[in-house]
Amino acid sequence: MSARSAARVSPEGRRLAALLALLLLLLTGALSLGADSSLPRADFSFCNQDEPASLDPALATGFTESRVVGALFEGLTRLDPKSLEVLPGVARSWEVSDDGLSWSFHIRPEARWSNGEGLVAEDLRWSFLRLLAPGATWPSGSLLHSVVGARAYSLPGSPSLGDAHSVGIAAPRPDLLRITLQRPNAALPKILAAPALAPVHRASVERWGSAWAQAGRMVCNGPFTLELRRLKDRIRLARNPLYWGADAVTLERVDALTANGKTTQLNLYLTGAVDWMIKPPAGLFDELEGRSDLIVGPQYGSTFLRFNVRRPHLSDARVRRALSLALDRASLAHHVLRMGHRATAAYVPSDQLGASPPPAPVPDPERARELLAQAGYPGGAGLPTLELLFPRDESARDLCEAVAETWRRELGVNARLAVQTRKVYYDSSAQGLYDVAWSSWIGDWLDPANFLDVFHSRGASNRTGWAEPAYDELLSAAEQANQPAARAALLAQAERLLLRACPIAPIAQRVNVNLVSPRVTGFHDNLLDLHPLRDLAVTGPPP
Amino acid sequence: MQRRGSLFALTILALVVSLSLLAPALPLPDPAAMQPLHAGEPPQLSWTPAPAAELAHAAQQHPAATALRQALFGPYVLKGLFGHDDLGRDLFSRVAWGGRVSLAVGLLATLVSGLLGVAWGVLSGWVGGRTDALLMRIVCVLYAVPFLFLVILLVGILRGVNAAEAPNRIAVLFVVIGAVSWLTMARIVRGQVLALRGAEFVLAARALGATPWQLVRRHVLPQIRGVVIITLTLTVPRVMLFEAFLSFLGLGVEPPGVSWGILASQGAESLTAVSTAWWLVLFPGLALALTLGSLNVLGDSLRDALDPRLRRV
Amino acid sequence: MIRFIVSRVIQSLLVVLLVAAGCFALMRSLPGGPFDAERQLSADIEANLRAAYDLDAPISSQFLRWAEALLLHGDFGPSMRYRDYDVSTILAESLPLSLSLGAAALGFALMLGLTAGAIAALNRGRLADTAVMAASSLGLAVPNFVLASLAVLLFAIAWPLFPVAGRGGPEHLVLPTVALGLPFAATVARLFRGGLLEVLGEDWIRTARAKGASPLRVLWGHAARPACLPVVSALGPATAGLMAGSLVVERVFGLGGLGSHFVESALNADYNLALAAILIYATLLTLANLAVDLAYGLLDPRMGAPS
Repeated sequence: MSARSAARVSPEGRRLAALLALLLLLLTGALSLGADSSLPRADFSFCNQDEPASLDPALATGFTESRVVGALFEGLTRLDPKSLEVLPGVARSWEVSDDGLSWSFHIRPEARWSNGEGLVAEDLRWSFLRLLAPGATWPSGSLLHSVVGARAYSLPGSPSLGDAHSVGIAAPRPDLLRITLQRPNAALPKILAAPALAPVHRASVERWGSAWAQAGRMVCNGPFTLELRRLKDRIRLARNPLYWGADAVTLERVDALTANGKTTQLNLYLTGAVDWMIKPPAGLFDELEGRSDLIVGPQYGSTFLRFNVRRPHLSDARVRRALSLALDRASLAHHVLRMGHRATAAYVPSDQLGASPPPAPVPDPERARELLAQAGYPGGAGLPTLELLFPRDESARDLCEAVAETWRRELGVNARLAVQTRKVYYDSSAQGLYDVAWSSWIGDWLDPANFLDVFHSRGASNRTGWAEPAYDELLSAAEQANQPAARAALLAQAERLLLRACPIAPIAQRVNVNLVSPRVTGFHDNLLDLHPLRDLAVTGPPP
Repeated sequence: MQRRGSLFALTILALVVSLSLLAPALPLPDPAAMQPLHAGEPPQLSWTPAPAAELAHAAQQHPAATALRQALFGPYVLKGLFGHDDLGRDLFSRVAWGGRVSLAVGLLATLVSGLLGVAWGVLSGWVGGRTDALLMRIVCVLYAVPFLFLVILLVGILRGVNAAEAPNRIAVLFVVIGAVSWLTMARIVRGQVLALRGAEFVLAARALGATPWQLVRRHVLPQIRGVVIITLTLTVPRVMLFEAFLSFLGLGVEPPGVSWGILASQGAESLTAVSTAWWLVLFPGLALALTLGSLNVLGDSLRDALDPRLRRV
Repeated sequence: MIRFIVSRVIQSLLVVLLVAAGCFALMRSLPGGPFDAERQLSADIEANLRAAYDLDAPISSQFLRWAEALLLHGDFGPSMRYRDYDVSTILAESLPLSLSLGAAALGFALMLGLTAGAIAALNRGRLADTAVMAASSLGLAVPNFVLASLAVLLFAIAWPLFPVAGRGGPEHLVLPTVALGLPFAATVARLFRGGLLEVLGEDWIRTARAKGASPLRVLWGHAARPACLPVVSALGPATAGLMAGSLVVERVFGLGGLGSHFVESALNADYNLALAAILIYATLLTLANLAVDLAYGLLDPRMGAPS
């Protein structure tokens, strides 16, 4: 080797070093450019199950949206998380006329928007009419369909189309909102607690159009304001000092993280990055069971199978009943669904939180085989392979695999599992392109009609093709009944009719499963899985 | 050293392939049967008789193999060699049966890509001229299409109307995956064919009056056989990884079917701070790693043996 | 040269347009619209939605309106999944993240792969060579979501060096970069080693060695340039591979990049966002292929102008 290369770095070595340095620069440059600013940790973080479709209350139809919208906006009333009783919200009190048709809500004088403006009854009137407007692109207007003139306001071809004065919502004084119903409905205050019925700021909506619900533009009236939203990362909420009940709100900053994937969410919780995780993966329930931070309770929701009654081989109720009888619901709830699901043969879930569960229904494969033979398919012979439809969901998949196996084993009936992405699954079930479909339904408030209305012959979400005039009559009689006891009896009768006719096979009542860090207080389990951020507090600084 | 490596690889492949082929004849529990008693159990061996209904179902699906199995082993099954998953399904059985699907997808998709690529490349290289330019232009264009995304969209198309009419999703998976991987083969084959066109023995055969088809069949195809085999060997791992990827996104094989991709993604999902089910990741991961790794090693050795110049492609 | 570039650019634009039109029609003909939900919408609300998002007109006029909005105003349209946002805003938030992640992964893969490949080639037949080849075979034999999950388990949970998931400072991107870049690093190592071995065996190299040049000089002075050719030609398919890999990595690490948006928009039938993502990916791919062809021409004087 020459003395030159021994004395200093050779040109080749320098070129090598230059190349590596260039690559390192590329690497670090890319990392810094792609990274976001580091945010200080919020007082309280939780994993919202998905990215909300919108923060506009009108579009708050699912849990993911309601958790955030419920913190940003407040309606006339709200629900107590412990008892699910109605509490005053924007309205400090209300009364109803003797005939039960005219409700008067007194708006708090201290109610304000987050930009300092006072909140008046006219704001609520405008928001409700916006929900009902012709050309509305959200379904939440149906919540107000019991109001006089509500349906006619938006129905094409109706004489009062677009005529705001024909709707029974009036704001005679800034602090008085009057709602007139078509029929008495004592549950109106409960309905008004729905996140979709919160007021929205008229000036903002008119100025920004559909993009008004973004940070920096949104004006809201709830316990929190929108500080920051990074799509598919987090929604950061800040305490709203102008909220009338701001003294009761202790959280300064709340992060709603949207990490997709149960595993990622669980890891975030277990490493202390978040304080609350919703619905941990069912497969890990055994490892998590017994932990003091695991809170399990029944949900006001039902998991069941729909039968496509229009298909010739399923039009015979005996076939459907046979398929339903063969299922070992206790085993399905305990071993397949797990997480404390309760097997049930009833469709409407129990609304009692603490009551001991009724004994699980016993499978009767003998009787099922008899029924199948009577219907003309002895031992399952002659029955075509059933298409069992379900969306891409682990719990749905496990359940359908177990159900298919049961039917094969006990009845000799073959089922083909058809998994579809959610949108395609909704489309397929709506168009009746299935034999049996995994289904679930969650009630908006504690009322059996929420569940029974689905299977009205003209119910939009019926999807089974089952139509029974006697059932429809029972439902409308219940709607017109004045006494709660009579109404409950009629609804119970309707449910019995539904279960006998068997267009569905109920399997289990859904559960709420939450992992909540011990530093959180004010978290109460309830049937509606309602955990307003307003009522939560933390002890001590974040880990 | 190299020869020992490729021998090792061949042995592994032979073991894996025979395990999967012979799975119906092996004393294994039904891969879809959920046994709640064993849910989440780590590996522990047991040799117990299987329920009659399970044997009957197996006999229905594979009568000859099940008869052989019952003759050799009776009603007994080997349970828990790799442990059980959270629903109580035997993992060893699932790995064996999953191998059938994964290997089938890998082989068939590779064959599809191979046939398409070879045909395209031979046609383009042999005919030459404007046809060549056109065909290669199409290949260039197709390189730019994000196939993966089309696959995701296409999977949405497959909605079964009735069990009898619904297209078999696995079959479509073969074709789609094959369609994603034929471009490289086409390019390679075309390069080889172009070089061969001017070779002396080809010119001589032509002078003797052989037809183009005879020339291709007798002189070109045997020459490119080596390249094709090497490329095919190295395509199989990519295809199988793609199947695993689709399974991770939930778009792969339908349940109750099982594939290594499904097992790997279920295993990956169970890697949390609480879960200690290491067997759910280790065994499917090993199955994939050993098989694909062996294929890679084999492909490399074949390439080194045949023609080092081929590294350039 | 210029003519070549221009013709390729025009060709690429046509390809991208074709892909856009094809995907446009494909998505709208698939079952499952963007507004299907468990709670069925009443007929009039559904009609309002379809009118508001221009889903009623025949597909060809929908496409023309979409293309016009895009080409004249740079407007990709509203997102159907995120009702508060325009697709353009979503892209502005997510595209920089994905591009940075891809560039970082590429840089990491090249650094690791070139170094490993060189070490392997210089130590042919010895332990280092076998180790590198074994590691790279393994890297190409294990699905990247398994690697990513293992990385999280090892370096974020067992040994909390990095965050588990989410966006934030640069430390949030380290594990995703490694998970995304490792498979390509394995490919680079193998290709570079192969290229080097081939070149190192040639006569002129042996002459240089005989004259007393050090191995390093031989490597970087003579061998590296032609040995890079297989690596460069692999960059085209690598871009596609990095895009595919980013779908998995973004999902495992909770990063809201374009990849995660694409998968979700395809599955949620958010037509506008899916189309925008497809367009961007197609453009990136064609640019990458073009760059590769140009680089190939520059690196290998024997090739001349690429045809």
